[in-house]
Amino acid sequence: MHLVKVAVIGDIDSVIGFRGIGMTVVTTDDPLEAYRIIEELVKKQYGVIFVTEDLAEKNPAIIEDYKEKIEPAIILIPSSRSNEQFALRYLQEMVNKAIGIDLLKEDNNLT
Amino acid sequence: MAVMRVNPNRMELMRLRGQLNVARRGHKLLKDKRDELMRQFISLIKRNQKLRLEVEKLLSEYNREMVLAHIVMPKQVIETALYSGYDNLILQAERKNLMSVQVPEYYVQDKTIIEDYVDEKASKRADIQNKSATDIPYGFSGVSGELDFAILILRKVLPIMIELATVEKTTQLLAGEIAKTRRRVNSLEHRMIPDLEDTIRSITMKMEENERANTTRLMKVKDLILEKEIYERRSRNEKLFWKD
Repeated sequence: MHLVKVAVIGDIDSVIGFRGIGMTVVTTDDPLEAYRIIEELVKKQYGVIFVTEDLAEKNPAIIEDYKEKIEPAIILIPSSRSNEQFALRYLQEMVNKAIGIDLLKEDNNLT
Repeated sequence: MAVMRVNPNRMELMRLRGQLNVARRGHKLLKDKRDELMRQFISLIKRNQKLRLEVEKLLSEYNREMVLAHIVMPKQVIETALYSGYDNLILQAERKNLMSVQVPEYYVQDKTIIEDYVDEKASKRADIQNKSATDIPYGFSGVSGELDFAILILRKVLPIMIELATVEKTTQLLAGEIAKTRRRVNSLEHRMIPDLEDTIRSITMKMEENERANTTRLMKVKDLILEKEIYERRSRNEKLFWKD
């Protein structure tokens, strides 16, 4: 068992409020810079990093590079700017790749 | 259909048979592992999707509240208010073993105080604790209530987000493991096992062929020897006959 810190990366409007519940907030609009920030945060014991999905969409390396590692957990959150639902699509794609059928899509059709 | 390049002898045959046995057993085990991983993955995925939808719903609510807050207050006020708090959220991370995949599990700690602050005076620490009990990390003067709503929504969404972090990381790791296992199963099933079977078959066939060649050769040699014998006896008999 160990302790980890939590950070949020994104454009200022989407993430500033997380400061209010004690997370470390780093604001950036540049997807490439976001990647560098993550690299730095990982060195500083940050275990959970929330990233806005528009940044991750523009720079897939943000998720891909840390997908197979136990730490850190890179989790996408929606940003105030777009409602692209990239995170859900990404999840669907991951399911598709892993088991070959799109389970979630079926669910969506049923409901 | 690919026969490996090996010498067709009994030694190789035995080695390949052993390999085939191991490959078959490994294939069965890996298939079981894959099935179980998938079962767990499917239940996880459903939970993951549910949590994500919930988080997205709450965060869009939060975004709405933030927009309202931006209407009644200048941006600078909001930023100063929020930056006056501490970034002291610390999670407990545990490692769990799920089908021999190491997955993390995060919990919100009760005392979310960074170690730097713990070093300071006890009274100050109590202050911080009281402050966190009031839920709002900034003073109320000069800050309008809309921001409070936004922060309260975030407080509500925090445990869900942490659970989402656990579940989503687990799904990512499991997905990787499933892909790996599937590749292994497929390469065993479609490559390694058929290749071994083909090679074993070709070796047995070659060895049988050798056997047959050997038999016919022996028969031929025997015939030759017999023929020679017969000629010899016949000529001897003839000699004896003419003598008389």
